Amino acid sequence: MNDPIFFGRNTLVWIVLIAITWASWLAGHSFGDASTAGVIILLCAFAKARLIISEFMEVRTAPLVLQWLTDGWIVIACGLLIALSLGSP
Amino acid sequence: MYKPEHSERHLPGEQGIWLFVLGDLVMFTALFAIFLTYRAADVQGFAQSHRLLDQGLGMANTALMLTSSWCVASAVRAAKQGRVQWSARLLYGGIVCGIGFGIVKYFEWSAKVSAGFSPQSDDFFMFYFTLTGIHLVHVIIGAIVLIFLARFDWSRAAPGGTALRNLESGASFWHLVDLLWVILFALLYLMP
Repeated sequence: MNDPIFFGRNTLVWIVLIAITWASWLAGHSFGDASTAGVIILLCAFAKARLIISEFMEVRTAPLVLQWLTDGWIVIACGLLIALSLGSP
Repeated sequence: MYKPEHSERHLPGEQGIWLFVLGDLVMFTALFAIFLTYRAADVQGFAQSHRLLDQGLGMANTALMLTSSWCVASAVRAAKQGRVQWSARLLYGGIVCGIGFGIVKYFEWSAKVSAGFSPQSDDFFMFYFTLTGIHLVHVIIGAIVLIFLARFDWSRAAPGGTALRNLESGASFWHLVDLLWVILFALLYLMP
């Protein structure tokens, strides 16, 4: 456990999270097609969620059952919300 | 069954907090699904109201949440290395970010209310105020927990790892709050 507190793995994760946030904001403003933008935005959001779970919440080194449960939530929730975002009245 | 003495893998915090985390994720996912269902029935109306949100403030709040999680995760790492002073400082850093989040949220809501919007304005604003409100309650609870953890006197910690487990439990709850915001932000502020 000699990973540096500053400028270590957590900092890299933070940089990636900020970058994905920026990219998803751009996606919302770049795509004329709202449906496509929505899918990209949700995929970005759940990519961030997985990073937070895996790295900040340390699930990466947690018992495998927790990895499966959280990965399961990511897949099911992301799929469900994308499907609902594409739904029409 | 998880057998810590036979595994190198480590559960961060008490099992109970993870039951809560998973349950809260399921509950919020249901709320998100309901939001998107209402949205599908009135895409134009939702888009129109969505455009009235201040994306800049939303981005600021996202940055604050992500930074607060960095602080808290780093605080746990510091504590594991025995650097308890840094651990406390980093926890206070996370708390300050959380307070900043609350302040931004207050100004954001005030602006909306002053402009005449309320949860009764339309379905989008009902979801906006309700979801961000429930989330803010989580932020407040999480911040209070972090304050207790930051004030903990490690020199009086009993052997056996309870103090570190408590820290990890509080940290896990805080990261949940960050995680929920990340999805919320995408649904309310980013989705066109």
